[in-house]
Amino acid sequence: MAAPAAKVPVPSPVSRLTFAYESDQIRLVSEQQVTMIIPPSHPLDNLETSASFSVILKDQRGEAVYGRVFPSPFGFDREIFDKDPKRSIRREVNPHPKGTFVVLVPAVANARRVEFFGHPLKPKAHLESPRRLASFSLKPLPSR
Amino acid sequence: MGTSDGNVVGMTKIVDHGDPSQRWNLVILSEGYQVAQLDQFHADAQNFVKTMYQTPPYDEMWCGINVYRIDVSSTDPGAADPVACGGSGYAPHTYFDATFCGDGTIQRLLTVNDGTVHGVVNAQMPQAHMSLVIVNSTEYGGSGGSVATFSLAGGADEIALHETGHTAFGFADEYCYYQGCGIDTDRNHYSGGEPGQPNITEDSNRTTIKWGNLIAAATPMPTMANPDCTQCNNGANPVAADTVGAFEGAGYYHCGLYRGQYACRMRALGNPYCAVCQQVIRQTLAPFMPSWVYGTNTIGAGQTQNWWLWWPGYPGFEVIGAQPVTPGDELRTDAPGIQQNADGSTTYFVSVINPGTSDVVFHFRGSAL
Repeated sequence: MAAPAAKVPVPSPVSRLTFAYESDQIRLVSEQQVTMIIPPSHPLDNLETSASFSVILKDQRGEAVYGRVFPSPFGFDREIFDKDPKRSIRREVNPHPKGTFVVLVPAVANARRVEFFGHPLKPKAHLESPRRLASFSLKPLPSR
Repeated sequence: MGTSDGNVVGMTKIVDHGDPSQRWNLVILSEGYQVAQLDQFHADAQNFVKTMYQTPPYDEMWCGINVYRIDVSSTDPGAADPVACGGSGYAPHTYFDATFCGDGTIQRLLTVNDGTVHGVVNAQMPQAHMSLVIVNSTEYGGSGGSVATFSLAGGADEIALHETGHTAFGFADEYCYYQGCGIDTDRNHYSGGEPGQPNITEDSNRTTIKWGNLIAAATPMPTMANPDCTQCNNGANPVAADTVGAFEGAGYYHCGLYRGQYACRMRALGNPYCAVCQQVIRQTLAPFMPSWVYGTNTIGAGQTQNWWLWWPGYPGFEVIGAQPVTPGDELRTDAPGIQQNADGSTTYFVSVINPGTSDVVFHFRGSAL
C-alpha cells in the first residue's frame, strides 16, 4: 500500500452567523458557536477584488484569516425556473430585495470582523468594480 | 400568518452517516403540510433523498452526507396562489408563508420566508450546511438563494439540485444570458475580471485555466467560441458530449466567459452536473468522508501502486481520484480488486499504473484503512 502524507480534517469551532438585509442595509442577527467541519479557505490573495461575492474573516490587525467566494446572497435579482427545457432558467431583477442568509466561518480567537466584498448592492451592478460592502464586529469568543 | 400558523413538530435524521460535527449536513423542511399530511412529507423527503443519491457525484460521496428532516406543520395545506399572477387567489395560513408569484409578477416563483426557515434550522440543526424546503403543492415552482425551495411538481427537484450547486458549492450560473436570448442588450461581452466561482472563467488557456487537469491534450482551446457576441451561441456541440474544455458563453454573458462543458445542470435544468462541477463537489465533500484521506503522491516511471480502500456499504465502485497534477501526464487505474473479509466487510484495491517513462505526481483521495 502506498503511504503518502494525508490530511484528515477534524471538527473545529465554527461561528454560524445569520444576517438579514433589506435593499443595501445589512445587519448581523445572530452568532452561534458550533463544532463542525466547514470548507477550507479559498486563497486570500486578491479575494477582496475578486469579481464575485466573498466573505472574509479578519483579525485584530485587519489581516484576512479565512475567506470564501460565494454567489451573492443578496436577492437583487431572482432565478426563475420553467418546465420548458429550452429556457429552464433565467434571471429577473427583484425590485424589493429582502432576506436572510447564513455564513459559516471558523471561530478563531484572533478573529474580530467579518467583511463582505462584491459588486455594489443595487440592481444591475455587475459592471461596477467590486468593493467592501459591509463590515461587522464579532463578539469575543467565550473562553474555553 | 407565519409561525402562528403551525408548529415545529420535530427533527429526524433520515440519512445517518455519523456525528454531524464530522459530516456535511443537509436539512429538509416541510411547508404547507397539515399535521395529518406529515407522513406524506416523509415520503416526499425520502423521494428527494433518493434523487440526490442517484445524482453523480453525490452517490460516491454519500458516506460523507447526513440528511435531517424537520417536520413543520401548517394550519392550511399548500401555498398561496395570488390572483396578481393569474392564480386562484388561494391564501392559506402556513408556517413559512410559501407563495407562488413571490415577486408579484411571475407565477412559478415559489418563495418562503427565509428568515423563519433559518430561525428553525439554527434552533434545530445549527450544524446544517444547506437547507431545502419542500412545499406541498403539485404546481411547478421554486426559488433559490440562501434557502432552496421547490414544489412537488415533476422536475421541480431539479431546482433544488441547481440551487444546491450555488449555495453549497459556490457555482456560478453557466447560462449565457440574463433575462433571455434575444432579450438582453447589455450581455454581449464580459469584461469584469476573473470570476471567483470555480465553474466559469475568462481564461481559455489550457495551461492556466482553473480546470486544466480535466482537459485532454487533443481538445481544442477554446473548444467552442461564439461567432456572434450579440447573440447566445446555441450551436451544436462541436466535440463529444463528455469533452471538457472551454465553451464560450457563461455567467450571463454571450462572450468573454467560458464554462467547462457544453451542458451542465448549472446551465440548464435536467442536465447532470458537468465534470468541472462534479470535481468541485468531490473536493468540497471530501473532508466529510469517513476515514477520508487526500493528498499528493508520486509514482515512478513504469511502476504500479496498489491502493487499498474500505468503502462501507458502497454498492458500486469509483476508483480513487488519481489525477495527474500536470495535465497531459499519463496515469492509468485498473479495475478494482475485491476482497471479502471474515467480518463481512469488503475491501477493495485499485492499481494505479504509470506507463510512461518519467515520474508522475498525482492528487489522490480515498477512504483508507
